[in-house]
Amino acid sequence: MGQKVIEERGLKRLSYGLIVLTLALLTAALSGVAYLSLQSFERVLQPRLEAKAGVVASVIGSEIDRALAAGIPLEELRGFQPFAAAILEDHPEILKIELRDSSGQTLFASSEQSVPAEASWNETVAVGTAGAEAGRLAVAVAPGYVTDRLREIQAEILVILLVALFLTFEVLLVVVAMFVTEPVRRLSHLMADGERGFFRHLVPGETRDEIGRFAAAFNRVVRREQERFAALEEAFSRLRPTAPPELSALMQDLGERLRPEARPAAATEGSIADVRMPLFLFFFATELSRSFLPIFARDLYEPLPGLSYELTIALPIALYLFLVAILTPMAGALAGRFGSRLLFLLGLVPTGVGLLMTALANDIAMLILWRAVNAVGFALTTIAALDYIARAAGRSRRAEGMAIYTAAFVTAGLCGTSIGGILADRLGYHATFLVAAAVTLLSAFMLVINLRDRGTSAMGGGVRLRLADFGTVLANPRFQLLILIAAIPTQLLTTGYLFYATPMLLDSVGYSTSVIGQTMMVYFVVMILMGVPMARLADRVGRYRLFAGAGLLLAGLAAMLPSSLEGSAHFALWVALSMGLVGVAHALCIPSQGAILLQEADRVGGDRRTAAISAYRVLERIGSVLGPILAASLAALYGYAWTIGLLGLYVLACGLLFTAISLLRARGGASAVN
Amino acid sequence: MQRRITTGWVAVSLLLGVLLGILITAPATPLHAQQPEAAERHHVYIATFRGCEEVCEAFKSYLLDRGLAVDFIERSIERDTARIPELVAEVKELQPDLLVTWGTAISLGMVGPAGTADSEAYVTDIPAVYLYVADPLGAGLVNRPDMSERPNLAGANIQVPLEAQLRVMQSYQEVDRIGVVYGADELNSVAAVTALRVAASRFGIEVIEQQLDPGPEGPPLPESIAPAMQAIAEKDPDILVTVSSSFLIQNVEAYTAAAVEAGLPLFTSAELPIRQGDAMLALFASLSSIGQVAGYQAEQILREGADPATLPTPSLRRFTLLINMPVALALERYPPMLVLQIAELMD
Repeated sequence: MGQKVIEERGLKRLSYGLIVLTLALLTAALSGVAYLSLQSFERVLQPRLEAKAGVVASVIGSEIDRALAAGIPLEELRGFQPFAAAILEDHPEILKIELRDSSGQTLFASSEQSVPAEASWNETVAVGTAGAEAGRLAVAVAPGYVTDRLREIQAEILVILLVALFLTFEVLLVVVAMFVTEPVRRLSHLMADGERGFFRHLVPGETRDEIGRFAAAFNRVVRREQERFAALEEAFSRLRPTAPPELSALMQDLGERLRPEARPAAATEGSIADVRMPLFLFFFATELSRSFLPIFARDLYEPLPGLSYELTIALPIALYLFLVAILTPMAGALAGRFGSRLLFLLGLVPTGVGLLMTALANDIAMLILWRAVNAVGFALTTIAALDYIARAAGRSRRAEGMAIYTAAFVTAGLCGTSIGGILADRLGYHATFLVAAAVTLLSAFMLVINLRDRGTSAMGGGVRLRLADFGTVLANPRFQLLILIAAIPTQLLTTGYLFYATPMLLDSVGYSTSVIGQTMMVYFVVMILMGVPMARLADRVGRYRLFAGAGLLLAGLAAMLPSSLEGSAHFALWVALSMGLVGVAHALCIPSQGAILLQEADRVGGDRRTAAISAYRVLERIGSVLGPILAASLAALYGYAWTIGLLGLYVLACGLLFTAISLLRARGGASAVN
Repeated sequence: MQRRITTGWVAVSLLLGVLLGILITAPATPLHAQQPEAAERHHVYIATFRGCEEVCEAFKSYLLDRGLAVDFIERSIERDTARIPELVAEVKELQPDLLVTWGTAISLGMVGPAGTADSEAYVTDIPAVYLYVADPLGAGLVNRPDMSERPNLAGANIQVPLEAQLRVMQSYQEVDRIGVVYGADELNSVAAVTALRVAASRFGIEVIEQQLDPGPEGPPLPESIAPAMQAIAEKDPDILVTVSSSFLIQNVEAYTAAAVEAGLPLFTSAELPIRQGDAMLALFASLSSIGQVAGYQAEQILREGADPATLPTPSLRRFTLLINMPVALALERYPPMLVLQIAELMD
């Protein structure tokens, strides 16, 4: 047995090197552009602002001139305050306007508010009739306005930079995989076969690049050997009756090594990379509405028979999660029947139609209906993608396949949430759903050109979920503990706090959907940065219960942050911090919960082990369905900040309980050993 | 392989390009102008009191702007109501597609009061639109406020809603008590005061009434105006409101001057008391909008053959706010800035 022609690790190093280099260059270029544009922004903005204050003052001045010309004495001018305040509503950079008489005494002001000493007063506009100056208007420009606007724009540029980086990363990964790593991997597999003397397969896809020419050269060698064997076989067939048996055996052996084989070699089948782009686009489309869906539902609210207000506005999210939870196990059976490519495409139909119709929805009933259709699409598509990955990856690379799936989901969450927020801000909610429908179409397009389908599903023969499996899980106290005080609280916090209450809270304080999207994005950024390192750390330390408990405690504490800082300046930043901490907490506890689940399932053992895990996955979704409903109901009583705090308190309590029980069990286990 | 990836790249760049494009370009859909249609010409007969003035001109230009091909036949009675029967006879002879009647007197004179059946004296078989009629229901021209229920008559409601009147008064100054002077002999005045009281109560405003003394023959005499004004001034209303009354319109100068004399600002929802008298504040339908809304009714009848009897009677939504500045200055009731911003000022 010879060595493999090319080490796969070396290939990976090459592609990651390329990606890191590209990302570094892009970051440098984008940061430069961002810095320069901000510089010019600051230079341009300040004088414009001062000029604008002058324009506003002259607009007000001309109205006062008209009053004076009509014969009203300056000191008898009535209703200056509401009049000036109404104009200033559209000009947030102006703090206050005062009307002063010729001696400089203030007669009227737009508000009672005191002006900070560092504000600059512009006093250029005089009022009066026929050239006689009766008084002057004084305008105070807010001192922090330019800085505040700049900070907002910096945040947006940063977000777009980040999203551009991640998009580039996604595209590069796919391209490098398709152009370089996958062809080389296939070639190296066939060459390794050749080294052992097997020349039965051709390399598919002779492209015109270097690798393609290399593959073509290899194919020529294979074909030549195969042709030589064919000629030999023909000659031998004439000899056969007289040939000694040893020679026949030799020919037999040669035939196994050199006879052309039409069925492609296992190693040359479709790669996981093929599904990555369509999957990313699909998740991106579904995530675009993340930052504003609850607000959209609230705005469309109208009474539905038999449903309370809180339940109704939570329903577009809760029903969606519920349907995904119950449909996902059922969709598994469909993957076996249709094959993953067709199922993926089938799933994109309800997704695209659902998003398109959501864009046209004008009442809450329609919104709920089309979100439900979307849920069907989500269940079908994700199952199809998982099935494809499981098949393309094979047993050996299953972990890598799952990592690609998770990466697509989290990266799309990051990009979709932030870009969706900005789109909704500029175009409105309806148009953002239209964009999402268009992205779905693009995903289908990428799928059609990228994904080749062969054979039946890998899950076809898999274990079907039975009702009894739920019983197994529910009757087991160890599963009960894990579900009730670890999995459900985690899921509940994700949907209740992150996906439901955050948009509503920030909207109620007056933040735009751009800011909401950026705040929610922090969670996904932290998940991307911390997810894999934390999971590895947990694996190395091996104390999953410690990690799971610590994650719950941290998540609970982090969720209590917004309520204690309500009303403070830069509230969105504090919410973002809380989001990030929840991200760290979830990176700590979600993989560890999975590991504990596998351990507990091993104790169940037997042929129902996998089914028990599936049942558990369905049951933990109870938390995600309850999240928005609970958050909406609590918010009606306590407001959003306190609702999040209460959810945090609940998670904290679960975390304490989980840690205490784990410690007791550990001690109990230790004493039993003793 | 190569081709597939290139296509993918193109698709992704297209998506990003489209997203950017959406972000950059603001939606701007041009409104398409109405195309004039090559249709039959309509004959519209317009009967006016003193020639085609602003309302009548606005009516005509509305129809022409909407692209209708119309020939107008204009007749004026030159302020002489005795000439109305001549016009009725001419309409019956010419058989125009539409008859337009200007003002209450001509409208009543040409199409008759509600309930008029086939008659020699009135036009009952040619569609008609009344123009510039302040109170068609009160004048007995129509059966219902929301539609005429007359086979050949339609029109528009040009009255300013009471709520809008009260809101304007409140934005001008604080109003707790409204005064109203009227004669109990005029039924439309009595009805208007009742409607005012109902509307005012919803704003938490009290209505103070002062009736004019009846004259020897029943209707009050002009001399009764000044004493009534002094009497209501003693009850200290914040502002006076003019209700529909022929007597007060006939004596509009004496009536409005007496209000100023008594130190009371006067509000009116008609144009006359502020243009010819000394009312301080008025909210009324502009002459052009009165013409246009009648034109809208005529358009539906001419273009779509709408049934005048069931054509909904539209109401105006935009009105002119006018301040009589000399009176406001004399009474020292200076208008606040927000009202000044939207008001027209009279020197």
